[in-house]
Amino acid sequence: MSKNENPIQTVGKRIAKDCPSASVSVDKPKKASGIWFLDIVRDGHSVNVQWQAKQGFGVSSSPDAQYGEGADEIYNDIEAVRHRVLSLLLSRGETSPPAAVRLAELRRELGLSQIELAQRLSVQQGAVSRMERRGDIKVSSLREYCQSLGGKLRLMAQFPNGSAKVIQLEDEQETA
Amino acid sequence: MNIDKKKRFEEFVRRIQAADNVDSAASVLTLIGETLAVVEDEMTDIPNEPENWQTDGRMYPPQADNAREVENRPDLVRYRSRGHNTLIRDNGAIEIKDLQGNVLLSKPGRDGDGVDYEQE
Repeated sequence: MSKNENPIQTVGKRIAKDCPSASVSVDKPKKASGIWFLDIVRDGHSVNVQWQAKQGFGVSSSPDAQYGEGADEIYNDIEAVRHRVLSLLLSRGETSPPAAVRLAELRRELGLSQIELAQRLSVQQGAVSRMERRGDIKVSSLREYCQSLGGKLRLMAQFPNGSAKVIQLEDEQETA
Repeated sequence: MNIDKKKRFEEFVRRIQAADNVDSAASVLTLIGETLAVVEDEMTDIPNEPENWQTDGRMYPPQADNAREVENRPDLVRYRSRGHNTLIRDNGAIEIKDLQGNVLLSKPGRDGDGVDYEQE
């Protein structure tokens, strides 16, 4: 990183070098201490990166970004951001909000309040609230949450080449 | 409660359009901030925590850290977010566009003039 550029400018330069077919533009804030954006487009597929010194990097690539919404994924390391952005560009992949946020969205789409879901799970409303705000969640809790919505949990691993594999859970094998 | 994002944004736009036009940038920022907070409080159970860097599923109004200068337009400030630009004019006019340039909300200031800006 040169002395005259900040981390997001460095990320932009490296991505432009790694992926010459992508257009990379920096959206600079009024004050250098503000929030910077990097907009990257390759073959019509867009990825954006936001950065602020005290916050780190946020990466998003999703066509349905809501007004004023934060980033889907957070990184602190320049190389990690670079790899993730290149992977999204090459695979035309999309980011998703954290699992906890997605759970709350699913619940809302099904028209259920936290209280109603808590009754289905036989827990207090506060437990559902905590689950929906947690950055990390146990697979067993996730399974119970999905089942209480009437769904079934399936885990899938996606790879940089665009392939995806369903991960079979142990108890699913037992009951299959 | 439990309204999806698209409907929440539509309700926000409806309320902004229904509000009286205002006469300054500060007033329109207050109008946006208060209207969005009320819509999200009424229609979701997501706590209002604008300091979150990662999405929590809630819509947040423009923040000072997102401000950008607009070339040759000292009367305009552009507020950038992940998927949108919000243009605020000194006369209280507002325009919200997605990154593809589609206008999602346009409202003039009290003097009747709009933002009147085409981004290249």
